[in-house]
Amino acid sequence: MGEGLSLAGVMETPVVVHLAQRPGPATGMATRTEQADLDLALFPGTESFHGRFCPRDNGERLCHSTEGFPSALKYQTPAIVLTDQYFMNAFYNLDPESLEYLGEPPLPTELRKTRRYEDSPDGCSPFGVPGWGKGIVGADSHEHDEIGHVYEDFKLRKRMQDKRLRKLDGMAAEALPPFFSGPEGFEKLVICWGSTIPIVREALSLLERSDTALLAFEQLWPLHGGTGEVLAKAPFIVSVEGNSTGQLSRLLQSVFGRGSDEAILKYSGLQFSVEEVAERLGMVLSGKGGNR
Amino acid sequence: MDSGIFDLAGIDISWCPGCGDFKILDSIKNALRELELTPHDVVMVSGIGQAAKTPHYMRSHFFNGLHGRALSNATAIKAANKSLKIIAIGGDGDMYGEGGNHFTHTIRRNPDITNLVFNNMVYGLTKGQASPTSPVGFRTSVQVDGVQSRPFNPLAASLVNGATFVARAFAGDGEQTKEIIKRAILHKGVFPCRYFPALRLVQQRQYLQVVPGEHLHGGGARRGGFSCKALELALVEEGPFPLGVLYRREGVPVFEDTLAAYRNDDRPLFRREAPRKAVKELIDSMCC
Repeated sequence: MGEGLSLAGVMETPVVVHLAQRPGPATGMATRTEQADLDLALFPGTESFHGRFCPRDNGERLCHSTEGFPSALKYQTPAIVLTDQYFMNAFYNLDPESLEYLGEPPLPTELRKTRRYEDSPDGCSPFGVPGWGKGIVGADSHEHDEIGHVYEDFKLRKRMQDKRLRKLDGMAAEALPPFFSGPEGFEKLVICWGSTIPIVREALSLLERSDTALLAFEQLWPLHGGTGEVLAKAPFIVSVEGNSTGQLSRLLQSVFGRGSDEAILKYSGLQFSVEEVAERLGMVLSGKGGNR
Repeated sequence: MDSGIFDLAGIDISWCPGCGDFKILDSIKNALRELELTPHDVVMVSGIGQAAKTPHYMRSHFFNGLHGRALSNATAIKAANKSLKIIAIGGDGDMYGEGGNHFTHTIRRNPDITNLVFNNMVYGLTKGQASPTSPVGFRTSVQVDGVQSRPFNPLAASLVNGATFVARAFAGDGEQTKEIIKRAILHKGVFPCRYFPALRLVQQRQYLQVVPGEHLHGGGARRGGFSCKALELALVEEGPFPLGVLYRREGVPVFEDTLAAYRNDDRPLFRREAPRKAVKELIDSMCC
């Protein structure tokens, strides 16, 4: 996986990858569920550049697949749609009115010049395909010049890396903000991502706490810039994640300097139940343990 | 036609002076020219290694991907646009070592692509370690006591797995190499061709002999779809080694023609619009 995504990163190839997570390491529990591949999705290649989306339910799954495709096409990068085995085995009826259809994908450009990797302010070059136009289309896994040919030139290397990095600025500006619900003057903040979002939301509604808000992430890279402000004003943060090390919390700590104070983690191979989250969250939010 | 149409100006070629790869590059460019192809008709696809740098030393579309993956990339490019001529190129280490799995299954799949392998029996890019075609006992800086594993036989493997055009040429003979490449490109199906570029062209000549005639499918003794005579020639393990087109079989369906995408439409995928209406109808058919 790392090899392919890294290749798509340097070749600037749009590709959407659906990563449905299961418990590892290695074969682990092949037919059970976990949210433990976030680190893998974030860092699959050497500074590769791509968006990661994690839908919260099946309706969102369709929408986020459509989110992933335009992002991959516009920025000519991989996009990962991150789900899990629980998610993939769930099926239920959806309101057809709630579905958004796939947008029209942009067609490739007819290359008239021979420079497939021409620089531009947003880092995105004209996307050509072989067989259309008079331009030559080259793709190379090495560091390459604007045509695509391999060159070990130190200045070229920096110029091309900077061009690819600039694409992240555009992706960050368009990032989905995390979903917030609860009182503005909250004292406690619960964070979660992906398939646990509807479960945590329902558990919080059972708890009926007026001091607690929810911040739920449906895009994990690039992160929306406003996330840091919400985290900074939280006196106490609890993360609810389906893995053993608290990967979302660690990501937020590394980007914004603010992770969670307590973590409710589950990594038995089964998804959280609403009652389980309500019970454990109720204890943690009341300072009575419950995090293990 | 412009004689230098496939030439690329101002390039710094990293092959050693005297390397057979130069001769193969010339043979490829001459073959393409004589077939009246242009750089816009051709995609050179490669993995990693000295031979895999070839696409950077000529003018055409190209895809220089990861170690051992050229055949998979080439199959995908053909599947996206049937009208392109695809040449998957690499060395013995890349195609038979890292790419061994892809090599076997691309032959089974039979896309209409050409596979050229520069066989110098070592990993040249990394300074001469043993490759899958190095002979037993061959000493290198890593295999200091000599190679223990027996060499992979790509010609025999191609034949028994059903390749429809199998040939071997000597890089030092540019004319024969060019003619074989031309025939390989014209053949419909997957064509493994092998070369002995090596560094020691002169010494190699004595180990090679031209095979008269071709051993076609359907003629003479054969079992399981391949010619036993061709296999006999492929199994020669000590020189002189037979050269030429060892085997050819016509009329085997090619991969891209079996794809649903081309059942009613020959246009390349980039010429088509997204089937929005069909997707909407599919979703609507579930909403009753």
